[in-house]
Amino acid sequence: MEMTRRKFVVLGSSAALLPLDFRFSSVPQGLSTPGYVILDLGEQCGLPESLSGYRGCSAGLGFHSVTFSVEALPKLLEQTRQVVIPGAVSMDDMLTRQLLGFVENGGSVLLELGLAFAEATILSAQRRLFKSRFDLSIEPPVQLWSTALPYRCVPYVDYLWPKATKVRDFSRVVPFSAPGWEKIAQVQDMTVGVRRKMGRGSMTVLGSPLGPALWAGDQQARQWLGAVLTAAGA
Amino acid sequence: MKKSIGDNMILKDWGLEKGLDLIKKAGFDGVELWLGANPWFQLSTTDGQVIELLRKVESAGLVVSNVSNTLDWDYPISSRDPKVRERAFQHIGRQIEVAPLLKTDAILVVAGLVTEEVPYNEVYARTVDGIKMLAEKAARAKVKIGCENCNSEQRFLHSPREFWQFLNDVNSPHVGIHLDVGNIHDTGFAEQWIEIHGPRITRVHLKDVLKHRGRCGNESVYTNLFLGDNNWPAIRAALQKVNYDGWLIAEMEGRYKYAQDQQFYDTSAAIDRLISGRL
Repeated sequence: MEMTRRKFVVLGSSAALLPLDFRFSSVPQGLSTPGYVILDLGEQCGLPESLSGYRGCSAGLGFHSVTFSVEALPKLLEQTRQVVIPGAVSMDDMLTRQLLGFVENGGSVLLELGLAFAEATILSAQRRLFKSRFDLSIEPPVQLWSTALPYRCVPYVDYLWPKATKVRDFSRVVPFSAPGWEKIAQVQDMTVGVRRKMGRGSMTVLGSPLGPALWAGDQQARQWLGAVLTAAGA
Repeated sequence: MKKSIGDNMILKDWGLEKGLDLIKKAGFDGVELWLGANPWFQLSTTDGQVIELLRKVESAGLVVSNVSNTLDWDYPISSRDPKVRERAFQHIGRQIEVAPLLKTDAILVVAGLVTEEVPYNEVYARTVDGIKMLAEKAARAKVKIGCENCNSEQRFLHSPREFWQFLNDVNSPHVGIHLDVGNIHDTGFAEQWIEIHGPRITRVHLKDVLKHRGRCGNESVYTNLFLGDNNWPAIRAALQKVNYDGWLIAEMEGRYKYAQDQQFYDTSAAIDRLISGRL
């Protein structure tokens, strides 16, 4: 993996002096800009394992990450270029507007949806929000593993960008129907990962949770995340 | 060592009292209560009803050897779905709560279920995390969680050293192995599992195994004691070697087709022979 000056500086400062994770702390004074910020949605993160996955693998990938709650986000957005949001089940309008502004100004967002595990009412509200804010149509959740299927499943999601790789599915997905978005991941002929340039930045949305695979130590999942972060210049 | 048999062996039309009487008459010292198996012991059974259940067990001249459950297969703690895991914590938590009410200190769980859908690495990590959390509750209740070796059915922790590593990773004195000597099939030898796990054995399940059947066909791989391929003298010797003096609990998969009460007498007599060494 290429070592950018930014990564070198961040790693050098963080490895010697700082713990890898500053969960819920205020923004540390004098801290080099983190490689990426992991946003902990608290109860609105439907997959705690996913959060653990993103948090646990950053050091191994050669990146520095910090985890913050939503309240600290506005301050953080001024200091980072990459935000990762694991297992999102519910986001409010203010948060989506903050993220849009961040992306328009050159930031990158990797948004992993946990909506396949959400209640129907929440899902319905989130679908409306995503359509109106991001012009992204989220389809109803699909259970990939069903005894009713006439065939046996191939348990992999095919990622197409930024590198082609296979990562285990996580049983349920929310597919996307998004003409204006680039397809970056698919499973069983469904689009489950999309990406779009917005202003000076970009947003990547996953409808198939990747974090649990990171948590379980899936090498291809980790390599894929590393490639995304590198592409985003984290 | 003391003898026990599960209340899941009691035929539905016998009812609890008749079943307990039969267990006592057959010579058992205790009964294994299976949460979820019978109407008298469900998740909805209140503390008061549990105490009444104990009264009936004691009236029959028995004690409760341990609390098991039939729910882990449908609600495994290794599930990907947080809601299913919550259900698993609920029923295992209930086992821990009722064990002291039933005057026993051990529960059985089938910890972790590998499937084509949920892969091994995930199941391992999730199960270690889940059992660690449950161990804290068990410690407060002074109860031991015995993780059963359902090797082939779970497709998990197939070797005794792997199971040993799993228990090391959980790292709690309140978590051990509920060792089933019939579940090892053709993947090893029960006496070696006993020797390796020794003081970590919380309870022992007894049944015999027909190794050549495997789990591929429709026929049960399990059979009654002394009809299968287990090396019973070696199992007895291994139990002696590790100073196991706890419960031996009969777990029969197949029932007699006729004279079903006779299975209780025969099983009890077989365990007597095992304990006495007249093999």
